[in-house]
Amino acid sequence: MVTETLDILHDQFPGCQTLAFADLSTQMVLVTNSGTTDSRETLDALCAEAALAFGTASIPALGTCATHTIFVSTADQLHIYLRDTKEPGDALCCICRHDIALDRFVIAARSCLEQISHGL
Amino acid sequence: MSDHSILSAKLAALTARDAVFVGQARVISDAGQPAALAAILAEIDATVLERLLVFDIDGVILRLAVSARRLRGLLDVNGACDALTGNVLSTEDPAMLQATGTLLTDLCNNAQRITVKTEAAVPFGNPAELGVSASVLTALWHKGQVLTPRSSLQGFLAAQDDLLSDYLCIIDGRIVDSQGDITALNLIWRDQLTPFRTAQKSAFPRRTGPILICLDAALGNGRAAGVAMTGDEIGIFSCSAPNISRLLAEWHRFTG
Repeated sequence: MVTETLDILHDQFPGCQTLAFADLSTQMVLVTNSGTTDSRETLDALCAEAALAFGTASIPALGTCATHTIFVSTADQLHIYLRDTKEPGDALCCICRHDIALDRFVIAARSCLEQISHGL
Repeated sequence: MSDHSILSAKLAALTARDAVFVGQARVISDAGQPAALAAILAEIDATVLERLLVFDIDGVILRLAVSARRLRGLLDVNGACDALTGNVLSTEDPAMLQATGTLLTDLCNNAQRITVKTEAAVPFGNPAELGVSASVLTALWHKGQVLTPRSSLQGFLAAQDDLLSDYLCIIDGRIVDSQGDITALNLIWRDQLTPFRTAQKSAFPRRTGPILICLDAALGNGRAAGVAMTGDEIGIFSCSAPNISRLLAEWHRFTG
């Protein structure tokens, strides 16, 4: 069920490479889209970066307020991390190409995360 | 001459106190008073809307594209184009700026009379390229200041003034440039960035090269925070969250 939801999102966006639903409190990737070729090491690092960047509700890693979407742009990839607004332990970690339709993707990814977290 | 330019000339005549006109051109410097280059810079500084300023410097016709109190560039001199014409001026190109300043200084040298006519703007360069403000030009050309070359990241941050509201630029651990309210950005720089980077590097030890991190609500009230890093240069900034996607695209172009 969750894999299917991730696959639907993945297939909508050619610039989306990997989607991983993660539990930030344990820093564990729980499920990925079915076609991912990324190693367990990469997925763990992805989850660790998400947990680090989001910080905790009371102590944000950067800035003064809790944040719900984080973008990390490197030379060859764009990592996008979304945290659920009601279940702050639930996160969607995304590896994308730079040419992804970013605004549309973030809206769709937010909807996907809510669907997984709340069964919407 | 179009009706529009006649009307502009009449309005200019009505609003200019003690102005002297030669035909439809207003005299801005006569017998070296005020100084010729200063007079031209004052006209640029007084031009808010996008306009073509046509200067007659003792018979040499100089056409300048001016907007928002900034000189965008030279269209032509006596109708002729060369390497200095047709380019939008930028502080990112100090050599072009200096050469343009030298040309104007030479034209103004011993000039007896300078007049100006304001005409409707003509297409010139990329509209997103703003040119250089009269105050900067005055400092460079009139007061002889030297333009300090900006670092690449400093230039990137300064060029995103439509996207970024506040920023800090740090090189080798020293703040070299800032804009706007940097209170929250200072907190990130002083207290948060080093432990964050240390932990991030342990997650991705093989990651190298420039990196940009944007957090959509990190400063509250819809304000995003971001950190840009390339080499020994760090930029810390705030922006409106909806601007993040454009900023990411600009960063990718900048580092790509």
